[in-house]
Amino acid sequence: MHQTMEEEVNRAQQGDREAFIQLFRRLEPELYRLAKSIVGRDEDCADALQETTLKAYKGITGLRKTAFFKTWLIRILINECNQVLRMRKRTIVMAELPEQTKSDSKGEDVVNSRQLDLREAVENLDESLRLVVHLFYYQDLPIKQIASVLELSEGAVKARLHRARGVLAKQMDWKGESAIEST
Amino acid sequence: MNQRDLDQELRELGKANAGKVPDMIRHRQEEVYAALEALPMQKRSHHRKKSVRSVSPVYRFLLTAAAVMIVAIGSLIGSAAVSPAIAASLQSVPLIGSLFKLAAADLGLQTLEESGLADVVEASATHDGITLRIPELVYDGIRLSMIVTRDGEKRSGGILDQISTGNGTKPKYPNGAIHSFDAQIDGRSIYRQDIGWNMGLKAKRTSDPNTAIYELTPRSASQQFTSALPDAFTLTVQIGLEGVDEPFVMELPVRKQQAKVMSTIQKSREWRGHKLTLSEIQFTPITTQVLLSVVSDDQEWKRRLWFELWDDRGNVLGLIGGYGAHEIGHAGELRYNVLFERMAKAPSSIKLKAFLPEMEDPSSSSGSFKLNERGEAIKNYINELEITVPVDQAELQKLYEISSKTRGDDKP
Repeated sequence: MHQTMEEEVNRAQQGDREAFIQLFRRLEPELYRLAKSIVGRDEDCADALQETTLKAYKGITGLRKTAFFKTWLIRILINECNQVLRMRKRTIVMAELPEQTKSDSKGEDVVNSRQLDLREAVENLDESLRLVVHLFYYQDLPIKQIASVLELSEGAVKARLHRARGVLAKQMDWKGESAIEST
Repeated sequence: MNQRDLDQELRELGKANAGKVPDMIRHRQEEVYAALEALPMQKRSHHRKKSVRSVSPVYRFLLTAAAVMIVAIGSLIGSAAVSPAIAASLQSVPLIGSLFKLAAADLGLQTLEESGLADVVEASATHDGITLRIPELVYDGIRLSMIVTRDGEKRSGGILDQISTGNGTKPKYPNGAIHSFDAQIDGRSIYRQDIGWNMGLKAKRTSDPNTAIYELTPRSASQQFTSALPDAFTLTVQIGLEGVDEPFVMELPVRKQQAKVMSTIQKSREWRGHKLTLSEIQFTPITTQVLLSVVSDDQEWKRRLWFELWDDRGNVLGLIGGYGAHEIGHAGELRYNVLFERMAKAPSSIKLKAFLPEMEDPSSSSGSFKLNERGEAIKNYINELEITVPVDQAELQKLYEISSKTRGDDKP
């Protein structure tokens, strides 16, 4: 983990609220992206992030190894996302405001069409595979930590990654071929 | 495809995607951070260094304006949606009079039909053969509700439809469904993070699949902020429809319906160290707004407590929405601004009831409510916190009977 992040975690553990907030602000994009991949709706991401923030704030003093802060946070977030999904199934909620897609498209002009295809392919993976891809490639977590977050064996994580790569490679090849055919 | 290439591309994709958090979520997170101020933080070390606070002016503004905690409110609200079968059968019925009568679960908006209090604005925009109209709106100083209707081609479902692609994947919108809605009041955004008005926006289905009601409500729980909007203003809306590139932009003149009955109360009840204070009830011909606060050392308890408003005949007022906030300088106090429907008839008194909903996971203050066999949330009422206040019945009845005629309008 980044040295400064560890320092910030230490400060937060000693009761420095500002350090906690700075830390969280910086991690927001990664946490949002992970939540988005699980719950889909921005409204639900906001709920999951809110609860994660509150739980992390309450629990940070109990965290033993500051180096595992991010893994710990991701575990809380995944639990909260699952909670949101359970709640979505159970409660009758009023029609909600459709998502604002405007902000989603900001800055996306730097992403080329192949990246868009790949992103779509990742988002269309089965949830169990998608989560592993997110944690490994986007969050940069080592296999051991992913296993701990998802409560799986390291072998199971590797197997899922292998399967996910297989699906993605096949889809991307197929897209490549169809693009050639259509030109 | 080579695995190394794929690995590389996935990592690059991870980097390319980083750094973009939608404004709505950033805004919510800032509110959560501000609310942390009111939550105790356990200290691990006895040698705590005093933190040097170097707070940016913008952040200071956010901190002092209102440190806000949003409390899960939506899930207690009954569904305003009507079954697709009923909706389809209603589709062919020609509508005469105010479209607000389509608001199935909102007595306040339904009565606009007879009172004629809604303002006819007849704004519209057309792109690619689809016309969006905002024929009517009403602003009572508490909420601004507007009808949005859709007419034309490219419609494969309801105006607010989303296609859920299963757990964890992004919802998609069928052609012709609204996918975005932006609004400005006198040119200023309705969202606080854009130095805007700090309003909440909600979309409600109606019994007609081509009609939705959009509603703006204040995101504040203080008396001085709940009616910060001017009495007359221009509302500009930009609506995005799936399958149509151009946004539908409309400008709407809005004026406040002045009629209201206010009761300033300041009545408190205490129970086991928890204190509930009812400070104000405001009645308009369509809405009942309650300002209240809860003080307790038990954060979980405080966040779980929820409220109902009952009239003197035992009718429970329908909930429209609510907003809860921890405000700076009031440590431990959680203030609420809760909106209920109007009542059918003016009562002589009104009762605020507090209850704790049972949670499916008893250790959590959020998540699913435990439901009884009828599918209703299980509520544990706390009778000791019940507050009954008298109402000026004659004055309120006069308010409820108000119509465009008594307002001296020149509308037909």
